[in-house]
Amino acid sequence: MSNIKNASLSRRSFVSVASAACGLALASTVGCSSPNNTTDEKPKEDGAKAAQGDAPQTNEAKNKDSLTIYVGEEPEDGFDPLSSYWGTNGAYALFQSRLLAFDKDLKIVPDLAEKFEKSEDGLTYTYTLKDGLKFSDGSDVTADDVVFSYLTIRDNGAGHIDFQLLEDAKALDPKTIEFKLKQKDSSFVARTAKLCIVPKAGYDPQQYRVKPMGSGPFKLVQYEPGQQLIIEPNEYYYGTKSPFKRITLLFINGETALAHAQAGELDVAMVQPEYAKEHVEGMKLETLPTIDTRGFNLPTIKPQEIDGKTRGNDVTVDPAIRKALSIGINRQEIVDHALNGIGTPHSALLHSVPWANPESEFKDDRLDEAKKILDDAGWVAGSDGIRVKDGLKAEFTITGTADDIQRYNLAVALSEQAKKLGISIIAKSAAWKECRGNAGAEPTCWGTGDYDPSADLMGYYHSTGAINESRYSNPKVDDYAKQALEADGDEINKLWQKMQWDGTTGPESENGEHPYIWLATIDHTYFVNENLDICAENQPVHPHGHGWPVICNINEWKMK
Amino acid sequence: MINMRTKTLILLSVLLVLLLGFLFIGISMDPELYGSHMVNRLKAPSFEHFFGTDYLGHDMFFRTIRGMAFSIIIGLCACTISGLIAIALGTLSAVCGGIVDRVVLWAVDLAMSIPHLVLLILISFALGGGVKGVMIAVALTHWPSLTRVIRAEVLRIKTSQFVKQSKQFGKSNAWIAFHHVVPHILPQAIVGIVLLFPHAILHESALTFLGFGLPLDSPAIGAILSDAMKFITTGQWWLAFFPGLILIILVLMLFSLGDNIKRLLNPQTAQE
Repeated sequence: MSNIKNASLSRRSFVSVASAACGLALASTVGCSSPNNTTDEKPKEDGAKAAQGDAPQTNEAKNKDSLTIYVGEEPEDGFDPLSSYWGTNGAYALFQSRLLAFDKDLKIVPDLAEKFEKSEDGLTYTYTLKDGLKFSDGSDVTADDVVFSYLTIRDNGAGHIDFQLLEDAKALDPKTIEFKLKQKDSSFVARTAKLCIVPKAGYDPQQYRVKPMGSGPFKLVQYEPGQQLIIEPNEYYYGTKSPFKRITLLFINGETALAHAQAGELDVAMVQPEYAKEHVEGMKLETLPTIDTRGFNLPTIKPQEIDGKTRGNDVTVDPAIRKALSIGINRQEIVDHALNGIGTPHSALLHSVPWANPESEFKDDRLDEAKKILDDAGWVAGSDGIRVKDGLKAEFTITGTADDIQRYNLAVALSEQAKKLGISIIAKSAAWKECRGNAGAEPTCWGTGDYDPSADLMGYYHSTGAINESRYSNPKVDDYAKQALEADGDEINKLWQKMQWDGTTGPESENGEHPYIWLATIDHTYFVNENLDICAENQPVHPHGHGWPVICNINEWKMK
Repeated sequence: MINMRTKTLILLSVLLVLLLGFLFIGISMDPELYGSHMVNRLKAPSFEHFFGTDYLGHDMFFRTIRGMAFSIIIGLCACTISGLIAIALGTLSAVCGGIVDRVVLWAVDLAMSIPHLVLLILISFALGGGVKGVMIAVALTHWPSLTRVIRAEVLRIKTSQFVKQSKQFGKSNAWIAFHHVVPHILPQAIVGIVLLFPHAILHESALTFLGFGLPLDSPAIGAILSDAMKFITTGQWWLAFFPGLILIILVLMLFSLGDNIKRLLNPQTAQE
């Protein structure tokens, strides 16, 4: 980056920088016989350097009491779970903890609360806190703090968990909290396993976001925005305490992280799929499964003005186009090409969770069948190979955010697959704000995967869903959603499954309405110090979270 | 023995061929050629792909040509607009003097006091990036130094003996402007504009490289280079090397052309 910056300042500096760059590039090409060797040779050098003594290895490994890790980009809005995305996916929080938690099988287990009760009418929940809970500053965790957290996120308009159905929360005594709901909500319990509790005393959103403090396994030592976050174990934490005295989380970019890892300076380095095939001396690659699914919305309405914005798409409004795309493309090829093979092809939004309908998945790469569907619907191939129907070209634009480059890569891969069907998809990259804003007309790549069934299902498939940019609307689906929210016990997941596909109608499965084209679930990949055990077997399947979910059990990490 | 005139002529013709070649081939190229073919991902340079391919299977050779065409168009527009602004303001300031002169000089100082790249980013960002943003940003920021040169030149001519003589003979201001001033400042303006051209190309790339210019999916040199940065650690050197090299060669040639013209037009060095 600095090269170009300098270059643009003056001609003289440009010439010197440019010649230096040429020299470097030449040296690198001369230095290795074939390009593939570069990556293999570099780590060896670094390994040799490390062995000479400037990085702690083998002997010192067991006594290592600090870690330096890179697990993802800096949370833009800080570390306040009440006003930002931090800690709201139920997987990680570092500083805070929750009333309930998800175990590795996604079952809901006690955390701050030892138990909870639901009233007969399903409108009142009573949670009881464990004894002797303390925040990391030594003050007690009381029912007041819980009430404060819940009412604040309900009312501040900045929270990332929806508590609009919460009528009131009251502290019955210092250990008991009573929640009253406006209507039945079977997902309420899951949400209490997502929301972090913050101390009421002295909470100021502007301050708290950079100076987080709570009842979680770690406390803040130092936060330098744009650079690093240093944490140490919270001595008052009620769960497993970390054996490390200090953990530093670096905020760098992916390329730099890989370079640091190769230099032996990182214990954990999150890498994007592009780098997952690299080799790093002294580190092994951990590939962790996720429910972080990627797919594009396919608007189901004709272009029209809604809330001052054009939404809908002339081409995707035709069910034949949506179905042909869904069954005709080859998802495995998309994963191999766009995600470097690091991911699993999926034709449904959900899998690996109890509320996923197994019948939603279907076989793809059925090119001939897909072509027939398009032929039957009246889409005939034009002179340039792109289909046309009544003068309308089967062509539309899709976007993939430039902030998360795999999404753009997926857009390009999808557009290549669509070409085989005679559908022209133009893949563009843009900032997320732009992608999100235009998604109603120009499909964009979504990333999703939540521990709360209502979040994904209501969001995408309910006619009033907050992220339903396909404007999909099916009264039967809405009805299943209503029933699922009001149901009890095993019924709940069955109804969520029916919402996806009930055997005759729904957004998913081969014969469904395909308001979305789901492509694949990404895997999270990390280079991990060979001597460090991140207890991957204890981690639940990762939710959406850009690499961060690996720290969900960071307090259990230990040297081997 | 090749003298500087011949050298300059050869350089000029090579450059013209290159520029026009890039421009026409780049613009008329079939999008399929520089589009993505994911089966051929990250291939090293070979006879099939002269400059190799990138992560999305783009052929870097065709993409570079297309990118250069983009850059050249933006460079041409920018140096024409900047040149016109500079000539207009420079002449105006020298001829009118007084408050106009002060305002122009003040504007020049203002534009020059802000670091060039920062000003570029500011304008491009304010206009929402994209082709329009880059074009306007690059066009609007390259005039100040040339304006100064032209103003000084016009001032010199205005006070020269032959202009005063013409005035005394009763020639109108317009006559003087066209017959005495313009022929004298033209060489300076041409050199200035030629030297602006590589600057504009570099700044277009820099803006895009930093993410404030053309979108990432466009085949622009800046976008190619910023994408290539990600693969330097993993050994795909060809992604940055060839497009960067082409950019550097073109820019250096333009600079030396500008230098040569300058020397040829200067009576003191013209015969060297």
